[in-house]
Amino acid sequence: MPGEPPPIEIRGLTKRFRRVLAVDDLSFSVERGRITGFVGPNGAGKTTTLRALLGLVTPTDGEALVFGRPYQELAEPIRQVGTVLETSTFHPGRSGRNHLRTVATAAGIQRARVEELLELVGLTAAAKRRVGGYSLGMRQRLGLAAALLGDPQVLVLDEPANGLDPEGIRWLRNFLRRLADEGRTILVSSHVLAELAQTVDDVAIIARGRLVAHAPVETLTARAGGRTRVRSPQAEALREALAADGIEGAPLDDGALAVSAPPERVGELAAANGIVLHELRTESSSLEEIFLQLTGGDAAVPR
Amino acid sequence: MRLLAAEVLKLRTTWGFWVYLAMLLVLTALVVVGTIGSGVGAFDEESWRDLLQAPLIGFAFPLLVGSVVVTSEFRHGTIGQSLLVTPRRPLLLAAKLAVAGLVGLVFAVLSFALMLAIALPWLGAKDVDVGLGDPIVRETALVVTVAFVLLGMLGVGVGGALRNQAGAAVGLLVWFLVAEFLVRALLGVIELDGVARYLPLAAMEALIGSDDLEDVLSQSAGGLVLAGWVAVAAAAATGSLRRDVT
Repeated sequence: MPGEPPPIEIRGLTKRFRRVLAVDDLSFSVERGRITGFVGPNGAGKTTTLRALLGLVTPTDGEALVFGRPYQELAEPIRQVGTVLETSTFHPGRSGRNHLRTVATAAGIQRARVEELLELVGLTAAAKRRVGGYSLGMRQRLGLAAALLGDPQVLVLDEPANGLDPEGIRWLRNFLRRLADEGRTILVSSHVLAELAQTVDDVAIIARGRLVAHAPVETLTARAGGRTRVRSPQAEALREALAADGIEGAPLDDGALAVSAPPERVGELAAANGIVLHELRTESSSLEEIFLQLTGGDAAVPR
Repeated sequence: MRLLAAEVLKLRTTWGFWVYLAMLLVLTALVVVGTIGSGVGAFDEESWRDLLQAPLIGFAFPLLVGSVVVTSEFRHGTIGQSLLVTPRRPLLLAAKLAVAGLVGLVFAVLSFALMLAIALPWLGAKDVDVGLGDPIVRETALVVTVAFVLLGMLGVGVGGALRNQAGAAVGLLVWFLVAEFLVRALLGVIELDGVARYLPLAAMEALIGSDDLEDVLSQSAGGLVLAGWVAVAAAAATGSLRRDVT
């Protein structure tokens, strides 16, 4: 539909806490049906931005809108937006099931839906136990279950990967991918870009309260220069072949070469010169590098 | 309505509520046993009144439960989740005031019923002639209920205004057990005794028909003044809850 407001829109958002400017004239919007990674160092203003979006924090200036309206004005907020907040939102003495029931009751959601979600996030067996005894991973899954109670089209997740072990992160990635495949719009924050790089479609990078980049992942990867990692038993011959074509190859610690050309080009040159390759791939750390470059690798400072 | 149901569920599923209720009932029972058991002399009109007012020994519990209804959410961060479901904060506060009033009602009914359940058979066995038909029974039941309901709501107001669990609980207890007496004494010194009867505890004492204080308000005026304090605290809570939740 033309003119339909985007699921999430941040417009000129500014938030000042006493002497700290947490968010500084931030603007970006999230497109329908995409996973957007909201990335920045700790203290960059991610949580404040998300809390402003959810009506928990009042902006000093600007606005943060869901479907074109402030969160407080949504008729059935948790049926439209599902949220996992960064800080714990559980009473440690309450069981996981009862936590979901309190949310469901307040929102007028059927009890059967609670059981459905416990099943979906794999907490059915632990549902009776007090949340105080849950592991971090279980808490994150309980948070996701609460976020999905109202079957919302938009999900806002603040650092859902925080404290998860590698297996937990993999579970989360698959889970988010599945939710996105159902057509949901997801805004997910993290201070580690690598956690999200394989999962998100777009990345919005924030540093010191300001937006420093907002683009599809591929665009950012391309911008990183397409550094290629190549390993060959004939490393010297390969270097010469590359140099003959004006491509520089820098030797890495393990004998591989870091090459500033796309893998296709490197592979073609190797074939043309009859050089055996044992490894050829795009360096995955390149995203992380551009992230550090863009954010200056530091957090917000009082000013 | 569903907000109210959710608030009731939140209370039911935490142990704090049950501990406070149990303590109220134990204290009430102790007072009943003390009043009847220690009666060396005749069981007179005054003993009967003391007995009926036994639940008031636990007047702090509706206050504390009321404050915890709000402060527990801030303590454990559940306030974030609650506001995501109910972003209109005055609405959430209203639900909490209502549920605390309900807690006051339940506390009053249960403790009053427990008092009667112990006292009536016991007094009957001692051949003391008392009965449920006595108008003072109905009057006291009403007064205890009104007091507990208002105290529960006052707890919500103070809890909402302070947001801090320990701060609100300590603040309420210190005021009702110590500070108000000091303030009354101070008011006496500067010859403003007339003001003292409008303080919260004084208003509650007037409401229950206590004659400890000189120059007390009438029972209904005491109830109204206490309701006024509830309104003041609720207004302070509304202001405080408008602040950022971080």
